[in-house]
Formats: sequence, C-alpha cells, structure tokens
Amino acid sequence: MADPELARLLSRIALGDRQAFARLYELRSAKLFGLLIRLLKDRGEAEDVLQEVFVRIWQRADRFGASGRNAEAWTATLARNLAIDRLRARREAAPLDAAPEMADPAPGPEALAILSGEGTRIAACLGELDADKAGAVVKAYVEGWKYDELASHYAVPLNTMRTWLRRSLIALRDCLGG
Amino acid sequence: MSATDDIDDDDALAGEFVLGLLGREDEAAARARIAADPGFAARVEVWETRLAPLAESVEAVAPPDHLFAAISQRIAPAAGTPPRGVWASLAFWRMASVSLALCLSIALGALVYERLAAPSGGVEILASLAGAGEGTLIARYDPARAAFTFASTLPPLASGRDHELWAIVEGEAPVSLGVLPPRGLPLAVEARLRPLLRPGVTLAVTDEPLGGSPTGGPTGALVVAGAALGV
Repeated sequence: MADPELARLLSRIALGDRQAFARLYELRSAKLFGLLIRLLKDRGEAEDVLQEVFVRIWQRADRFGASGRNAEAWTATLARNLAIDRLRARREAAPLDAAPEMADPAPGPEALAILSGEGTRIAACLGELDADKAGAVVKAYVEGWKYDELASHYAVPLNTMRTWLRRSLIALRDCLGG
Repeated sequence: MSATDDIDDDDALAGEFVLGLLGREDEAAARARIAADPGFAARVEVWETRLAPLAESVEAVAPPDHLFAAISQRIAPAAGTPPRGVWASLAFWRMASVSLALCLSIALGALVYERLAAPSGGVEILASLAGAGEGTLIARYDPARAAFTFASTLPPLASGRDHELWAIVEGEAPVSLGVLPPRGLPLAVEARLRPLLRPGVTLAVTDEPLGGSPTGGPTGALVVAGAALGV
C-alpha cells in the first residue's frame, strides 16, 4: 500500500497544492470509482459522487492530519459515506422499488485474498467466520445491502440476519484486536 | 457481565451504523448519539477504519477522462480568471463589516457592474447574514461556478468546531450546503442542492462539530442568518 505517499499528498493538498491533488486523483480515483459503482450500481451517479468526493478531499484535507487515520481508510470512508447517503435518499424516494440488482456478484473470499497491509488482517478475521456470515458483512460494506436484502439473499429471517451480523461484528472486533 | 454486554451492544450498533444497516429511526438516533456522545462517535470512527480495507477489495475502474477537469474547475479559486473588481478588495470587505446596508447596496451595484462587464448566465444570489453576536457573513452564489464565495467577519469558533451553512426553504427542514471553507476559498455546491439557491431562500450558519453536523440537521447554535436576494 502506498499509504505514506497518500498521507504526504494529503498534507500537501491541505496547503493548496494542486499537483499533489492531481497525483492523489491519479492514485486513488479508480479504486474509489470502482467502489462507488459497486455501491450505487449506476455509472452516472458514481461519476457525480466521485466528483463530490474529490471536491471534499480538497476542502477537508486539513482535517485528515488531525484524524489520525490512514489515508486509504479516510478516502474510502468519505466515498462510501456519500454513496450510502445517496442510497438512502434513493430508498426514501422509492421505498417500493428497493429490490437491489443482484446480477453483480459480490467479491467472494477469493477477492479478499488480494488485500494487503491492513486488509490481510480483516481478510484473515473474516476467514474465521462462516462463509455466509463473512459474505454478509462484505456485501453490506461493498454493495450497500440492507438487512432485508441480505435476509432474502441468504434465505434467513430478518431477525436472524441481524443477530448474525451483530455477532459477526463483535467477532471481527475481537479478532482485529480492538 | 452487563457492562461488557453494553459495550458489545454499543460496538455492534456502531458497526451496523457504519455499514448503513440501520433503519431510518435507529439511524437518526445513532446520528444524534454521535453528536452528543464522543465515546460512541469514537466507536463509529474505529469501525470506519476497521472496515475500510474492504473497499480495497473492489475492482478499480478508471473514471472517464473529463471528470478530473470537472473537479479541477470546481476547486478552482477563481475559475481560471483573475480576481475581479471589488470582490477581491480587502478594503471593500472591511467596509462591509461597518455597515451591512451600505455594503449590500454597494455590492449590488458592483454585481450589476460586473455583469455588464462579464455577463454570465443563471441566477446569482447574494445574502447578508447577521445574528445576535458579533460579525457578519456575506455570501454570494455564482451559478456559473456552482460555488459560493464569502466575505466573513465572523469570529473564529472554539477549536474542534466548524461553521456550517444551511439553505432553508420556508416550511422545510434546513439542508446543509457544507462547512464554510477556510477564508478566501469558495464552497462548491452539489448539483442536487443547486435548485434550492433561489432568491427568497434563507441562508443560515450554525456552530457544529468539526466536519459539520453529524445528524444531517443543525445541532448547534445559530450564528447568523439572512434571506437571499436575486441579483
């Protein structure tokens, strides 16, 4: 992971360095665009949100230093939170049309194998859960699925799904070490 | 035992919140807790960081080439043109803080002048925001750049707090336009929010946690407010 480089770029961006901003875009835009497409399942909307993500990176880079986070996590969280807001607005606008397009497969455990750095830890911890339970966490994160969608995909009652997921989260937390 | 269970419950809740799994009411309650309970807010942050490596597992997709140009334009301090006329003049803004009414009339005149000199389409709005305390904010929205520029005499907030700008259409809930940028920088407005920016809309600034209200609605004290005028 190019984490130290991303962090350095963010500090330069906080000082208004446009070259650093262009370099960060070069390094990070394709991954974030991929994530937004997975979450939103609409390329046009993903383009809109990606613009917003980078405008916010420009405006808020000064907050990154104080956040104590790693640069990948900070940028991915920014992108994901904006996408989740969109998904929520979409659901509220059309609550009856909430069924997700399930054609696009979520990454299975094999996709997690490509994770490096911090990612190897979460992949190892997910590997300790049942495959379905790990899959539900990944689908919620990467596909933006809600409990109803997860429950119907895994063919379990909604309350069971919620219990699964909460237990999986606690197991993950304990495995990752707090 | 019950203490541990409580911690687990809170941690699971924070994790569910980060995953976006909570229903509407639980989610609103969680946002309110983030605003009020730094311990819970910290749990949410820890989950964001814990789960973020999952984002790296998705396949990268190169965005279209035009996107970076569009972003560059949105963050441009002066959209590629040198600062124009009175808007760039410090003396002008000092005077603005002396008399709002005077300022507004001068600014309106200046805008008319600017529009004659460099006509641009769309609806510009101008608002002078004042409150019970010291300081004022003058906000100008330029539809050609889809951005606000500001002249502020607001005193700085306590550290760890941000000024957040809201648009309030009469009879509706305030909609966040974002956190006020550092002095001299514009604030870009998302496409979905631009239709709100019409003459008559009220603009308001509140005192919020760093990065803006975590709830989606104002949580802190009103600092200044004012109605927008068409230019």
